[in-house]
Amino acid sequence: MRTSTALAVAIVTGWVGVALFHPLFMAEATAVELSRLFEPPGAAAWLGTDELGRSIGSRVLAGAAVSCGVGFVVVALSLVIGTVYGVACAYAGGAVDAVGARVIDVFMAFPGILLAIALAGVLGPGAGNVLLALCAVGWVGFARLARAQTLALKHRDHVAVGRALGSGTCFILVRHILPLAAAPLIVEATFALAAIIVAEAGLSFLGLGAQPPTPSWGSMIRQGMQYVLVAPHMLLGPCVALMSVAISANLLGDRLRDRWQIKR
Amino acid sequence: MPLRLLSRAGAALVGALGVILGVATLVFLLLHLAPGDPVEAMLGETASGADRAALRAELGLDAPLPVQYARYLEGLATFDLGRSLHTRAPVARTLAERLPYTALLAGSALGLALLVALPLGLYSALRAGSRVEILTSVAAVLGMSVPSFVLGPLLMMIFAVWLGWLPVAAAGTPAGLVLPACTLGLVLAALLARMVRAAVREVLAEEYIRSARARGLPELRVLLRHALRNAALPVLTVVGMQLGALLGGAVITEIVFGWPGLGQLTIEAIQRRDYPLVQGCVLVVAASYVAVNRVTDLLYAACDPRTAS
Repeated sequence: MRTSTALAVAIVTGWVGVALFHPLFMAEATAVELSRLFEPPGAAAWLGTDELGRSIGSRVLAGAAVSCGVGFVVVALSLVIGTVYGVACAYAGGAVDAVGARVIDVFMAFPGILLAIALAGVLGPGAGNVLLALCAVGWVGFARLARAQTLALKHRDHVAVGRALGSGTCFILVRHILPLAAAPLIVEATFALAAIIVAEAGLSFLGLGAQPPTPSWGSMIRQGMQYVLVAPHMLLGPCVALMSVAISANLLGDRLRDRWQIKR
Repeated sequence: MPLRLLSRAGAALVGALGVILGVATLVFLLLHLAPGDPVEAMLGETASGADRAALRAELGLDAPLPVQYARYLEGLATFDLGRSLHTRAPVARTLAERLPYTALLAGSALGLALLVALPLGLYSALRAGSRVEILTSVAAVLGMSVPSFVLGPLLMMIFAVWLGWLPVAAAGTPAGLVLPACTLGLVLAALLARMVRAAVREVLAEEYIRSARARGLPELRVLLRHALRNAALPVLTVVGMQLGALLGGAVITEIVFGWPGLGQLTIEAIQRRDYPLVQGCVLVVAASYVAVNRVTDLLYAACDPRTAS
């Protein structure tokens, strides 16, 4: 394994660990200390403090729960929904596939983030609604890919043999088609993880995500922007955290794609 | 040949109209089925039942959903998108006022991206393993990972606050365009540079390039006439696809820099639960995206006769 790949794996795993143990940091992340407003990074608070004197370092760690948590859950749900939809459309063929493909077309006609913004805005602010909005956008990419893969695979000889031997549809899908379609879907999921974490931060940046006092990286960047002239250090922690996950996930996607020789 | 292209354009237009109708329906359903009441948002929780009923009737929100949908489609057919619930101005006019700003921002960003990406991608394809190539790869991963709400403030800090070369906020003016266009354009440039590199490298391995070289053609001519023209096709597709991301990214970039385009209008409309305006904004962006993609398809067919059949 190349050093950069190992580093990327370590960073993503590290943030997952931090997200799982976020209650450890939550108390300090929400503790208001009005005597310590806008402290620059130092020994007492390693990333400084924010406009309410809260430790930015603790808030970045606690914020991983929302930022990474939403990312992983949305990718998992989208992967399952999109794959089931795409495989079902393509395998059924005929009118079902024609209608199914049109629905994918309509969803693809939106710039995803705009649909998510509109949806999250209409549902009202909150991490749960952001999760819903991102799932509503996220499944389409997987559906399109799963459909294309299944269309290419369903006429292969081994599938025809399976059918001739009397295997049921479910068995054929699970044993003969899905394993061969898995590699591109996993690569897509890795890129999607980066995209969804960035999109969640974008929605939080617009004030549509997790509400105060719950920290999330996007809302911390939003607050940092408001005080950028007074306390530019407020932007450092959440920006670096967000970029570290996004860069690592994109790098992993790249490496997996090269290893499995998948064309995008 | 032109006739075939023309019929293809006709088919593309019909297909695009179908998709736009689907998009319009989806937007309508999303906004009307989602929880939240625009009347309550406009009048506040303390308004009397009679006032609410009156406003609901005035806005046409008391009709059953299918009737509202039919009215909405009827309006669409005549480019009447209704009136803003907040300002009471026609939605179409409000959109027409803001659209040029977003078009200017997206257009400048795309221009900048191409200006940076084409030479960079070409050079790294020709000089594999060079520093420029490594730089392009790193920049591409960064471009995918750095969102506009991180790059925007960073550029603002460096060029407006520390160096003082550009205004912090001069929305709508030429000087105010530089930072938002760079924010959007640089991210796109990183992705495009990588695509150009991959496309050119693939074409350079083709046999007709080898035979062109074997015939003793000057290298520059081989590159410009034989390689670039063929490499343009995949790049064109990606540009078309990325325009959607560009329009989406423009929403957040506009907020960061206070740029008075469609993105800012969309967010304002969402905050005020101004349904007709949200509907109009999303519809216009989606329709331009569909239009751009269909034009890309046509250009593709015009450039490469193999795909036209």
